[in-house]
Amino acid sequence: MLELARFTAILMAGCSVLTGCRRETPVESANREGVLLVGNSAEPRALDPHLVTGVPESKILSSVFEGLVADHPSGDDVMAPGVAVRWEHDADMKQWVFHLRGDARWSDGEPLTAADFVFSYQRMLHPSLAAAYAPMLYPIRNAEAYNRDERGRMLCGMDPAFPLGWDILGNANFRGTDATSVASPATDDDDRTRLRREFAAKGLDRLDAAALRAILDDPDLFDWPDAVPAAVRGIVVGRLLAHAEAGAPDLFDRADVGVRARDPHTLEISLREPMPYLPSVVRHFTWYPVPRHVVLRHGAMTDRFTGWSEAGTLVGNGPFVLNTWRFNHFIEVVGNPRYWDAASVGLKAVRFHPIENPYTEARSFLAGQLHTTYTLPPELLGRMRERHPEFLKVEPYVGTAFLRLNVNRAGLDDPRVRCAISLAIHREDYCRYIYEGYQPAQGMTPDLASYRGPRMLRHDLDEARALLADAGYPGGAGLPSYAILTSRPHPVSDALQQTLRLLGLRVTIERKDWGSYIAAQQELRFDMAIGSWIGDYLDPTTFLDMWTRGNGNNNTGWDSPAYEALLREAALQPDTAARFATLVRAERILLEEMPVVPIAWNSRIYLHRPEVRGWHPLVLDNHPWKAVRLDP
Amino acid sequence: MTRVILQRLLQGLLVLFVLATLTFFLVRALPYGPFQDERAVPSHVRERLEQLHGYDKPLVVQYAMRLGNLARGELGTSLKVMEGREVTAILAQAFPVSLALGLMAMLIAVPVGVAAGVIAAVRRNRVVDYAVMAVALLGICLPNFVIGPVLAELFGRRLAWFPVSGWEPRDLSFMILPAVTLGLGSAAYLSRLTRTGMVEVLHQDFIRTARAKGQRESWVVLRHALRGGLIPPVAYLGPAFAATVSGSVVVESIFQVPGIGRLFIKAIETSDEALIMGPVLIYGSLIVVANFLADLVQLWLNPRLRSNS
Repeated sequence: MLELARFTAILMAGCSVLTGCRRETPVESANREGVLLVGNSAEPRALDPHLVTGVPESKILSSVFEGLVADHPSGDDVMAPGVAVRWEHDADMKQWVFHLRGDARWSDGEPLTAADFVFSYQRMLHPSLAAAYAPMLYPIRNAEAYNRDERGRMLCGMDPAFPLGWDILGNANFRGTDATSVASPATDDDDRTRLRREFAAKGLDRLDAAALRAILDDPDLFDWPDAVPAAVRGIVVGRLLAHAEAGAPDLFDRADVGVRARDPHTLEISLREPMPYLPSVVRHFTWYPVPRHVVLRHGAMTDRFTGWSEAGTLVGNGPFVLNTWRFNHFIEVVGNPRYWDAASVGLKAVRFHPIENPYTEARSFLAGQLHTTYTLPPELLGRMRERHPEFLKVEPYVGTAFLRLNVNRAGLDDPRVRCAISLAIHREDYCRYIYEGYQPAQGMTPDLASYRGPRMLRHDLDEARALLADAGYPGGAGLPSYAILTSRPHPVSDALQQTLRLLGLRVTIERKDWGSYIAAQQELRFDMAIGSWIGDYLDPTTFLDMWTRGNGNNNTGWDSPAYEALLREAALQPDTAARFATLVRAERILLEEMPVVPIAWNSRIYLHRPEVRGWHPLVLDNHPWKAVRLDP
Repeated sequence: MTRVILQRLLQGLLVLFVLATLTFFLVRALPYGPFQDERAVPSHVRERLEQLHGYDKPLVVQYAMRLGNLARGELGTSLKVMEGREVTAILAQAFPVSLALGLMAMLIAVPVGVAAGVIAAVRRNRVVDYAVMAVALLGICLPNFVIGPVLAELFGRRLAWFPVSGWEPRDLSFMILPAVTLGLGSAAYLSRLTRTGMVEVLHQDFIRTARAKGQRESWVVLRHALRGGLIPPVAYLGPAFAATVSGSVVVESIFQVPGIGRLFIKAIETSDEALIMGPVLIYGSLIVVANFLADLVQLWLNPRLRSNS
């Protein structure tokens, strides 16, 4: 025992000697040096703006890149000049011209021109790059057809001289169908049936040269709509074949994608629809320019992960440049002397720490290792309020927490049942006890810019019970048992279970690991699921567009032609007030049909040191790093 | 001896082959793939990604390609967590960290555990014995996700002796808390094993002989008893070391250590097959090698085993 005690004593003494010099916390020395220490949740997958989708990546990217329009330190809806000094649009908000600053430079000294933006958008949209966030650029005219590689449309439909309009030709099977739905005449032999099925499944756009040649020789191998005359069929297949035989050259110019460099400092963007909020959208990292000369030095335009965006190679145009990247450890960016506004950059460096464990992050913060955290575990909120109010930040954020319903399930297919579920939820209590710090949801879309949703969510248990009885399920009788799908243990699933029990519903909780939880929702293999959505830009469409037919993020099985008609109507309105009024009508339909039950509007809850200046509450949470300063 | 080594080498290769096969098919049996995301990835993008990574080929073909690449020593590139990056490059940064942490943990666990075990055995059935064994039992029972935060709070935040999280390759102070957390369980287990071994040996005739010759008790314990008493803990040492290095997942998360464990968990969550395979094979090799080394040490310690081989 004596030895043990002595050993421990020696160990401890050794440790104190080792740490004896650590009188100063990392934050204190960082304050002196002007280095901001940021908790940034996760290790970035990459730092190529075209290939990433996550929030942690976006934080780092916004320090080393800058878009046409920049974020403002204190106003989400203030458009600060970025690479563009000014911009203008035509009357219907479809033609935009961005005037780039003459002194814009890449961090390696090369001039940054409009051609870099054209290159960037072409790369982002190129079908071979397979950028998951490419749809962010779909507002650009013809961008979607180019990204989806709709060859027939680009080669024939967009040709004004083509003998047949796309409104008719577009009904032909370009995109492929379910193979089993293709009927075959009884006289066909097996080989031809097989080919017909295969061609129909692939669709004209994805057929290779051999297949196209076969169809040219034997037109019956493909099912054409009657409205497309035989001669036109030949032209279509001929053009596709010529394109395939030429080695499938890039169709960016052919597709007339709406982005053009008028001169080195003038960028023109043509949209498919009016978009008064375009300046807000182009602040998103998907719209950042990437350095053409560097990307091409490391590989072809469409190569993923060529190493152009690593420490030592990454060239950006933001206020900082990437200095160090140690996996799972930290990423450091340091001031970029070639940045056009370098004089106003207040920090020497920013260090991003990928701390995924929120408890570790809070501990690190309290021990003086971080200036600002990514999040705060909800359990710690009360204690921080009590002991460290000077550190605690609770700010509105563009996010909504909700319960997603699968409207294909028996019972849940009745909007009355879905509305009863919504009426049963006491949102104020949920925000008091479960989503502490959040706001009770009053609709799907939180308040952003000047948009105020229809505010029709109420709590009324009696009305909920009456609705349920009205739907033919008095006291829940006749309804199957439902499972609430969740990915992590969170009291909200238990609370919902109890709430729904008040209506007589039998509810279980089904917990799946993250990947299975996502997959189950995307494949509609669930009854109810806890979910949330974070908006990308400052417009209600970032919350409303997803609930449409075929949208990969809908995952409810619900769709409504009336809802989509209103979204279409809004998309064509250049006037913001009128557009928002239309969107409120659309959201009203969503809340009447209730395929998804909004519960709370998110807050950003985090810890933040008071010596950090130039940091203000922002609903999009995109704090421009160049405005941040540290009190020594 | 050479035959034994050769035999063990072949056995090890077989183990790794089975491990790789199981891993491949288990990962592919997951209900989600690496090209899915929280926000839906457009179907045309997903198809293109599957094509890029060969996921459009039949599973058997993919398996054959995987084995072929592994045979050439290629682990491939990460599919999701750090897509496009060579797994070897990722592990080259992470493995030394996990290894250093594991070694440090053992460096703490072995002396503490053995010393505690010896003391307990010598003072058998006295207060010291009961105290040491109670602490050891506690050490075995308390999971490291309890010990870790307690140590971090106490020695990191309150006393500020050590950083509460993070890692600097050349700064030992970052290593102490995670290593102690990681090593404590092993130390506790080792102390119980050592005690058992020592108690048994201390009852043997040759110990009584040594005492009868009038040798000092400390000499008897250290010179005569310890070698025999260490046989049980040494048998445990190999697996313990492998388990320590591979079992650092939780500790890495608590102390924000940039090792393999955290990567491994993220790879599993996203079904990043290549980045799962790498750590699995490393952990597998580690266990094979550690067991082999433990066997060799046992041969040296235990004369009864030597004649059989």
